[in-house]
Amino acid sequence: MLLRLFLLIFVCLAGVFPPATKAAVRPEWTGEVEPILDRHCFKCHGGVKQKGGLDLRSLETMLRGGESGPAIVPHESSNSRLIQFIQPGAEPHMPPDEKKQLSPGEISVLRKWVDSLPRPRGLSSNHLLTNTAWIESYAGDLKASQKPVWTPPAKTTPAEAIDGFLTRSWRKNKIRPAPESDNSVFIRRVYLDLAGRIPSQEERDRFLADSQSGKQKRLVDNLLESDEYPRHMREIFDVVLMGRPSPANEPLRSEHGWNGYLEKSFRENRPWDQMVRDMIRARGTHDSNKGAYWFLYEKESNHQAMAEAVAPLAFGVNIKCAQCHNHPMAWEIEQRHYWGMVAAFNRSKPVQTPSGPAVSESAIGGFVNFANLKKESQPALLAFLNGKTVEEKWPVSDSKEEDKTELYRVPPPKDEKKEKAPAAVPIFSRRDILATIATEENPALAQAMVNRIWLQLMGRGLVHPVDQLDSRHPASHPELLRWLSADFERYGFDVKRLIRSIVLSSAYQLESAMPGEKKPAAESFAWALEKPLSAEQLFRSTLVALNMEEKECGEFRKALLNHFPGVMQVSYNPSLQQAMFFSNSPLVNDLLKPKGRNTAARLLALEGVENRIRSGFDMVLGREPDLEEMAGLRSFLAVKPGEKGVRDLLWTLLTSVEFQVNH
Amino acid sequence: MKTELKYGEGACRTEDHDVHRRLFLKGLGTAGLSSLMSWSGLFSFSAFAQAAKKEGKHCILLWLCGAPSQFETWDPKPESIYGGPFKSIRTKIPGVHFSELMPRCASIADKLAVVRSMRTKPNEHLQAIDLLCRGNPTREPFVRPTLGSVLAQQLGHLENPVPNFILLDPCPEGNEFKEFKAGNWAGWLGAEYGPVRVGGEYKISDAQRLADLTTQDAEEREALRRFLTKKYENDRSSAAAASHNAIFSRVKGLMSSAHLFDLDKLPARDREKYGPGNFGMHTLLARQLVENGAPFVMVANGMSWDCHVYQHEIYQMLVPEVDRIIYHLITDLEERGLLDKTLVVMMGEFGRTPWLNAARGRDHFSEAWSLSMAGCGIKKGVVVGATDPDGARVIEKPFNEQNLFATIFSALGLDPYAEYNVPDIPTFYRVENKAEPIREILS
Repeated sequence: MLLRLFLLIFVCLAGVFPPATKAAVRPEWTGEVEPILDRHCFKCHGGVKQKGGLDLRSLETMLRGGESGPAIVPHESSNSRLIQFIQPGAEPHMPPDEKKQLSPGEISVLRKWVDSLPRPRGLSSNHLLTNTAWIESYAGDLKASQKPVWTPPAKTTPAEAIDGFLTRSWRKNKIRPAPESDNSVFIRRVYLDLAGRIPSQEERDRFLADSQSGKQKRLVDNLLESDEYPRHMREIFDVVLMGRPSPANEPLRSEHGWNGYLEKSFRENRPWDQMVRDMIRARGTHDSNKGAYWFLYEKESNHQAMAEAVAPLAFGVNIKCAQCHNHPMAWEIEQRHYWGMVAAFNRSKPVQTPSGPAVSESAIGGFVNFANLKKESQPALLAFLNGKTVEEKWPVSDSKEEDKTELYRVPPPKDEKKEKAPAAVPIFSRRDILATIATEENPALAQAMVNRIWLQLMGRGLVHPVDQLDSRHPASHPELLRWLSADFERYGFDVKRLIRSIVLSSAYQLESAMPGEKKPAAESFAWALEKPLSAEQLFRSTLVALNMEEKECGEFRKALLNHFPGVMQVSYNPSLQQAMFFSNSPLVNDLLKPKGRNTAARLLALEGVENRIRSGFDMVLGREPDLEEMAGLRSFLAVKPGEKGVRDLLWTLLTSVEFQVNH
Repeated sequence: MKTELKYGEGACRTEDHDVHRRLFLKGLGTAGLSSLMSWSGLFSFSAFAQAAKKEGKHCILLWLCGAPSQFETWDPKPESIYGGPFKSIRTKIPGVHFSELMPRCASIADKLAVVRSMRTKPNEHLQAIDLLCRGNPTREPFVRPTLGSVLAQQLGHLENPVPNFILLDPCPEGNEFKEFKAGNWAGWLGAEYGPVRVGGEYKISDAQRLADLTTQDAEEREALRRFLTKKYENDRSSAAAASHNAIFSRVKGLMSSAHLFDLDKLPARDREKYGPGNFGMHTLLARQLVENGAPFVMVANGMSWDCHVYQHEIYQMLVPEVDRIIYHLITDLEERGLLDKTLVVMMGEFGRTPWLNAARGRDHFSEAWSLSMAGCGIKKGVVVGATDPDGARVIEKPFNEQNLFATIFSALGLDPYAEYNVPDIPTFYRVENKAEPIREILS
């Protein structure tokens, strides 16, 4: 109702004021207006400081203004203090620094922006300047009035939504996407993404020969139900959630059930929100979440590390910089949010219980203060990034809190040093509170996971880098991210469903090659992005290509983990040490020697150089060599004795970028 | 008359070998691999090292990550209430004092140039390290190459067996520095100008040729690998392929220079002068590498200078050590006739506060800090810029990161305002805004 009235007035006004220029296009906030304000104003009227109480980082805060009143009046640049003060010769004049003056072009953009804002319904200028109650609904209405890119009809599947949004964005930006890839590309790509390895010759031949319709869907379903999927997801998420383990911690992650917890959860498709709750609560009560406590336990008593590890999961952001001050750019990330999360964990400590290590939680204590750079001290209240807060009664200063058994569901032992008792669980548990806040009515939870899985499968997040889901990093396709996240949440945070939807979309199956053309930007997703293989993917794919057993290659695996520690990094940065390893390590060299029925032996048993070349290409790259490659390789092998020729042929194939990248 | 030979088995005779090799090379030549043609001779190590000694310029960056305090080093303020317990001492430059923790640098001050008026913006590590290593604020999404990458390209040679950009950093950790290290060093110049990062045991692993692989085998299969990947790159406009080739193309060079990274081969006396600490040993390694043709070596060691706690206690150990290291580096370079061709830069990413915090440490301070340079293109025995008696602000000749980089490029004889010639990116200059170099310290 309000919206319609608002639009009606807007339309009327548009008629009343004939446009001086062609259809008044509002300068874009993110691309045009905000960068100007960022360069000239935010330092004093933004993140860390708000001089004169004025914050210029959003429309709402500008409308509210500061000590001198509102900074802008919508549609009236001449009445807007922001525009007045930036004029040359104005009194007062902004910005005060001589070297930071706005150019005439920049002043014009800001003026145009203010003038393009619709007049608030039925309010006089006077009223606007002295009253703030209208601001929230005005800002909300403005946002709602912006035409959405597309509203998918009800019953649209996620795969259809992905293709729908992306196709429309290509059309709008006049981008021609890469062609669809064929099945030989699809099978390698999807095996690497879902099972963590390349397909074997038999698996590939079988898939390509299958003539029944729906074989892609069948393949995906089989992979998602295989044992390799949970193992692959565990290998990824162990690093994503906990980082690469130190040599001391590596065996402990298996021993204490962490790896087992991840694999079981992915195998049984445990809803993601439950997994996040498991990790934050760290109380392994059932079989289904026993190992989850290790997420906190491994961090011992480092409560800050716990907060920093949970923030990307619950809110999609890295909050490390908010330890000492509000985020200088993303204004919604404040120091108190950082310390609120630390407080959620600072009653916890690692303990030994009769059934093994655990993380207990006290019912008292953990009331800390934190100081900002100006040395102003504040109490660390339970305040969180999504705006939720929880009241707590702080003890009167100097009074000592009494730890009473009545405060607990499971009380701590009377003498910790003497008894091994089950981990203490208070009735009012800060960890449980955070777990609820993070996983209920928290849209960021779904968005962060959708973005992460999108990165895993598409090679780049919709928000990239992935742990920057803040106001300063708009998504490349914000409506697609919102839609997928809402869908993910509605269907119970079903990870397999999300993965299946993405890999069965047309967008996932585009070619990664656009020969001879200037490629569009990576964030258009108009072509399949190359994804370098992780150490684990390289390892398993090498085993398949060379037809060798995992148990014979333990040292090789360790060396790969050493040299390729990254998982889904922001950008591809191969290192010289990796090349040195492949060129000179005896571990790699040994794989290329004939042994039993490995590929080297198989090739050696073949007659004729051409057969060896074809078989090598088939085993390692999954394809036939073309004429040029065959010619080059034939000359190369012609002068090499058998075993060395096979060794060097396989080496060349294994170290090619075609093998080491998912494309 | 030729005897029949079975291909693929047994010995091949020289003529066949040459014919096939030529054919092979011809075939590979069509994939655009020019440098393949000149294998032998070019990688003869000593020949190259000789040439490098005669012509090349070098730069050693002693990267004091974490930000050293100017009060305990180049700009002491013993009379101020913030000065701390250490006094100042006279130096070889009349009227100039350094902290008493740097007696040896004081004795060679006539070879150094000190800037006391650095004034930059970021005072958090990640942004400041990024700024002081690249010389200009980031303009997303374009990544400006770090100093080392620019100098690797400008001062280095593609066929240089010694890597053109070496980062000696034994410490895998280092908080924000660790994050920076995992990022993109070479930016828009491309992966081949990224650093070779070495450290720890001072030797390079996997540097020995395999026993059953001849040099010829290695070169031929590398040529083949390159051919396949280059083809892939061209067929698909693949960015990953370009980076991939860039790193493999440097293996051979690194292998032939790997022995240089073995400090055990140096006289014990040298190791005693610089060591036993990591930073010292790596500075010695930097000297050795420069002597053998390395254009740019960056010496780092975690973030040891970031003392937010017990400033004075820790600095009384840290500073004398770096004092000794700098002294030996400068005097050794001079002795070897290398100082005039080698620019030595000694700095961190900002300075430290005059006042102490509650833990008796100095916090971050970018409003007034110091750095020092010596060698190629730098005047000897000068101090430029000044801070107020408390060291709380710059009162004379403030300089920022752009002025610093303009100075570094000018000192090395490079045009600071050259435009980058990289397709598909906006116009960027080596130093933006035509920022002036610090003329007072340029010779």
